[in-house]
Amino acid sequence: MSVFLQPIYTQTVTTGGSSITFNNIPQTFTDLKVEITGRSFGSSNDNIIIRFNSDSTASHYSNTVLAGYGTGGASPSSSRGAAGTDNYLNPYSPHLLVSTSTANTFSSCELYIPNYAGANYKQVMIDSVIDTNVAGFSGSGPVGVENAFVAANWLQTSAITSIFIGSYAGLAQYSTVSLYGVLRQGV
Amino acid sequence: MYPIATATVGSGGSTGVTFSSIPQNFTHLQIRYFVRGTNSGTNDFTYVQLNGDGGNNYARHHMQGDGSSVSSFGQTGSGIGAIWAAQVPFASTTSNVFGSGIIDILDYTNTNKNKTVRSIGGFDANGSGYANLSSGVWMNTSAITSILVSYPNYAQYTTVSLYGITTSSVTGA
Repeated sequence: MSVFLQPIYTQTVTTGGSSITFNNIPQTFTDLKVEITGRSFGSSNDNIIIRFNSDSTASHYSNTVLAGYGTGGASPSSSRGAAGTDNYLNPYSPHLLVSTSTANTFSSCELYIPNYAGANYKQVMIDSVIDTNVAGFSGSGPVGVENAFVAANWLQTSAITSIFIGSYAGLAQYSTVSLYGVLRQGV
Repeated sequence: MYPIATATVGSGGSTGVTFSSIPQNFTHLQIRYFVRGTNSGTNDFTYVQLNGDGGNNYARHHMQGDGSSVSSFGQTGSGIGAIWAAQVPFASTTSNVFGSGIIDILDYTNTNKNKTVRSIGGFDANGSGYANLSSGVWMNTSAITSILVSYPNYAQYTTVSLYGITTSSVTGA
C-alpha cells in the first residue's frame, strides 16, 4: 500500500480575530490531515476550537486529552470532555499563545481524521505543541508551553464536508491552516 | 510530499546528519528517522539544530511515558544549542532495536514566525522504552536553510530522511 498526501487548500489569516473554514471538501480521499500554525488574537487563555459541517450541537463532541506543560508548570495530566460540554470540538488543548506571549511564535498542531467520508462516528487524532522561552502553565492564565495528544470524536455518521478552525478570540495574523487529503492506493 | 534527501549512517557511526541548501519552495518540512546510538551509560535524545545556530536561541520541552509514568520537562536559555526530539536506544538497549520518529517544521520559510518544531517518536525494547511528544522553538524568524539531526554517536543503519510538503489550491475547497 502506498499513501499519497495531496494538498487541498491553505488559508492564512490576514486580519486578526478571524477563523478559517474549509467548505466543499472533496469526498474522494480516504483520510484528511490538517496542519495548523496558530496564535490567538486575544490576550486571555485561549485554545483551538473545531466544528464539522457547521454542527453546533454540544452532545456531538467529546474528547480525551493527555497534556504536559514543561518544567515548573502543572504536572502532565489526562482529562476528558464528555459530550454535551461544549458546542465545538473543544478539548482546551491544543492551547494557543496569545497577544501577550513571546512575539512571533506560533503553535504547531496536526489533526488527522481517518475515514472522514465513512458512515461511522468521526475520530480525530491531534498532536500539538506550543513552545516558548517562558514557563509553562500553572493552571490559569495563558499557556507558554504545552505538549498535547488528543483523541476526539464527532459523534455523527455524516461525511465531513466542511471544517471550521478558530479560537474564542479568533486567530492572529499569519496563522495558517493547510488541509490535505490522504489517499491509499494499492500497488 | 516530496523526498528531498536521505542519509544512512555507515559502519563507522556518525554524530549527525546535516541537510543543507534546503529548497525554499515547500510550505512545510518533515523529517522521518530510524535511529540507534552506540554510546554507553545513559540514554539521550536526538537533537535538531537549525541553520548551524548552536547559540542560546532555543527552548525545548518534552512529554514522555516510560511504561509506568508520564513526565514533562524542558529547558530554556543558555547552553542548550538545539531542540530535542525523541529518546534514542543506545549500547545497552536490546540489539537491533532502533527508535523512530517524525519531526514536523511548519511554515519553515515564513519570516514572520519563530520556528516551532514538533515531533513524536520513541522506541520499545520489550521491557524498556519511551513514547515521546517533543517541542522546541528557535527564537529566530529566518527561513530554515539547513538542519542538523544529531546524537553523541549514531549507529550503523541509522537513517534520516527529509521531505518537503507543499500546498496548492487544487480543488477550490
